[in-house]
Amino acid sequence: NPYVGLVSHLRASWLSGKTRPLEYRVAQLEALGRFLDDKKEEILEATELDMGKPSFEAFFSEILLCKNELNVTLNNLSNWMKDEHVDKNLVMQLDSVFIRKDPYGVVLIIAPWNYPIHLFLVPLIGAIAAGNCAIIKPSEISKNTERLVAETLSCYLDNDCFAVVTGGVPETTRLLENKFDYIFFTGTSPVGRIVMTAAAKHLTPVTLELGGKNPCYVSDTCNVTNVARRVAWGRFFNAGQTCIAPDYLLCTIEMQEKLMPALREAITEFFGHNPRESPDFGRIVSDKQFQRLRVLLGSGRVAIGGQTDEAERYIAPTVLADVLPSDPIMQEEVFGPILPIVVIANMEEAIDFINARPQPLAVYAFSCDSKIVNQVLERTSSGAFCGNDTLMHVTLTSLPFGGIGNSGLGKYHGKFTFDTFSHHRGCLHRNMGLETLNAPRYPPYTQQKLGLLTTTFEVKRRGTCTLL
Amino acid sequence: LLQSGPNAYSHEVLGVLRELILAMEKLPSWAAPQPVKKNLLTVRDEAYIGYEPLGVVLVIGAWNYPFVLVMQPLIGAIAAGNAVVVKPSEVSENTARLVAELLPQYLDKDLYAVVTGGVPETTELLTQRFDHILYTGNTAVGRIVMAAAAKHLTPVTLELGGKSPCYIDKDCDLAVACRRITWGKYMNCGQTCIAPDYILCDPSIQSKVVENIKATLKEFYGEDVKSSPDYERIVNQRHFKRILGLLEGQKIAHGGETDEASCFIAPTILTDVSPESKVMEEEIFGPVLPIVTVKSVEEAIEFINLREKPLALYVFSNNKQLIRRVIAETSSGGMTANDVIMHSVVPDLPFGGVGHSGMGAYHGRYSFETFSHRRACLVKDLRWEVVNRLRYPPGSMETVRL
Repeated sequence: NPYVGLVSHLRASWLSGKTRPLEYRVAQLEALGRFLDDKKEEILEATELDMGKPSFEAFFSEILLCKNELNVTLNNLSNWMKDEHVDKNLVMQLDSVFIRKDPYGVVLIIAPWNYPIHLFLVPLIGAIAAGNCAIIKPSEISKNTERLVAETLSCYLDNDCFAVVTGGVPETTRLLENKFDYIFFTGTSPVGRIVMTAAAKHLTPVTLELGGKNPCYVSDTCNVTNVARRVAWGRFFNAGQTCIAPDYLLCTIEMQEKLMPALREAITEFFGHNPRESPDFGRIVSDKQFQRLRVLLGSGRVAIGGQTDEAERYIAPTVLADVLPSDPIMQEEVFGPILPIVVIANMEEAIDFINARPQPLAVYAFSCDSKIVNQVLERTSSGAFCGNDTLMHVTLTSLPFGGIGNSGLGKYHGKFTFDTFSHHRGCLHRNMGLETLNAPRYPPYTQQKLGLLTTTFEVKRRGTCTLL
Repeated sequence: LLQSGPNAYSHEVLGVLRELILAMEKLPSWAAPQPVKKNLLTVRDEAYIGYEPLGVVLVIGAWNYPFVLVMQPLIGAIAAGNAVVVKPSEVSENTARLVAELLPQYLDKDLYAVVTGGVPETTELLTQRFDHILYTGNTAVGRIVMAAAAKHLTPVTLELGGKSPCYIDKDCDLAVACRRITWGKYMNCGQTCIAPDYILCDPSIQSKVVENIKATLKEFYGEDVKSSPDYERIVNQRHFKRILGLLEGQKIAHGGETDEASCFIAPTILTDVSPESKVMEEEIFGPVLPIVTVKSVEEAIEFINLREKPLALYVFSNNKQLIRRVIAETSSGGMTANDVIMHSVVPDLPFGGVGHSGMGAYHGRYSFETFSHRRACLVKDLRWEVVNRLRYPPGSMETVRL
């Protein structure tokens, strides 16, 4: 296996204990910050070459959001690392009871191509903060960013503890044969299964950030203009190549009618009359994805957009009306700048529609009536829920970011990333004295001893009669 | 297993009752949505984490504490609002039968079911899709469970095992230490996942350790262990033979008597055990206590770190610094200093393994969280659109700087 040497080297560094002190972790995290500052232009350029990512978007998702995570971590790391003391019972009053945050060891982070810096860097922040060594495997599809990371990250981080591995499916498969102490994977559900199966051989815990079709329900009572803007923004950001983008719209036929001009207006407002000329609209990352998306344009009828240019891998911001649940675009995650609208009769039908399908990463609901928003929230299941907007929940580092069912397992962002990469170890440090207190637990067992044990360990249900 | 009445009650029933009451008391606070810190852009919005059930979960129990190891996870699963399939271990067949008969009489049959059977039945069960699987058992089967779960992207909690080391420092009250170790090692005839598996100590105290354990054994079980009502038996012939095999070629300092017919193995201590011997390769899960000598705490730490991460780790010492050092330089599911087992009865400590000893944790609030989905919820207003203009295209670097 070509990676055995690398993994052993990192494991040896891990065993030396150098990643544990707070100072070391802070130094590495600060170096990551410098990487983002120094390489900002290169990052914007690479992501533009990879998928025509507008520099505004690239700055927001690849630099700004990452720096936020970095700062939240640096500001709170010493607190997060502290032992958490817990409640003690009667018998343990003189003991020390706490939860220690242990690093796992050598972790693997596999990132996808759509937010190629963000999706390895934010997990890496947590991995470093928790005291681990890490191997980063950026996506080969966003090849310019891959090259940038492979060539420059090593100038900032300790090469004994952190390494970048490049390659495609064969390389990743071989990499996964090695034993890691944690694997963090962002990508598609089918590959998620492969990663978890490989992890099972070594009993390696995993976090899988996958995808799905994020439904967006728009009720009849809403501010159509604002809804159209927020939905269009979320759908066409990064040319639709966002795991939490609103994947399809559910609304009544009347609302579809009202939304269409509002969506058209929002798109024009954002990208002008010819989005192909707008610096703020991205491109599709590869020919394979472009071909896939072009086929999906055949679903329903094109109400807005629909133009494509193969040479540029350009697909216009498109809205498809009257899409049927059986249409091709409703069988897979869109992951492109196409918004299908599926007409339903009412909220009940919308909820049933959502629940008949695998749990998505996000459920969106728009309504001026908060009761409706709450109904959709309560009666569906998803990684996250956002009412009256799209994507924004991801900007709050205090909210856990992750999926459920087919959309993934585990969560991160903020402290959740630190917790993901730490083992929470229950510790009890007892007193050697007071041995008489332990007498009731030792054999020979008697009813009397049992009575004593019951009294000391029992938790009585409140409301039951006690003599105390 | 031949567990005596009071023993079974304290180990199996008491813990369950406590967990039940804790869950009933705390459920409202555990299940309440947790508001979170907001930023400038979301200051007028509702942002919180909601606790939601996962769906239909599977609990696979083990045979050594057959009642508590299905009941405790079941409590958490129910508290979190799930439907549950319980699969007790077929090896502890009497308890399995009891659970299968009684549970449906008390719980809603539409939501909670018991499935009995062995390997073929469990394999078939694992082809179904569950929303979480909690498995207690050994490492080898843990791999199989996780691989089956991977097909459905089902999250798992694996409570496995390993060799839990017990380091005894020269500077400690040996009588007390050995009494506590004897209790934890030989309870349930050594068939406890967090029993101290082997001892590491300086050669100079090895014989004193043996003497103290011998004295404690007499105190606990009397002169004739076999006739003590408080000493259990090995669960079946297969494990009996397996443990017997571990004794081959070893220096038996105490015990060693066996009786195949009743699956009896006397409390046994082995001295000067070689790290390469068979008894040091697998989890013993029996009343055999090997002592491996080490010259220093550094050697002990290195010894421990060269092996798979254990479910529990124990260290006995009067020296607080030494204890802190052992904790800081090793990793394990959980640990107790100056006692054994006890970290597992603290309701607010997460109970679980790491590495080969498992993944995930439960007990108390952690059971509830294991079986819940923490859903991020952000609810905004449809008005105040002017704030959003900052993020919409056409973008410019000035707005970004804002």
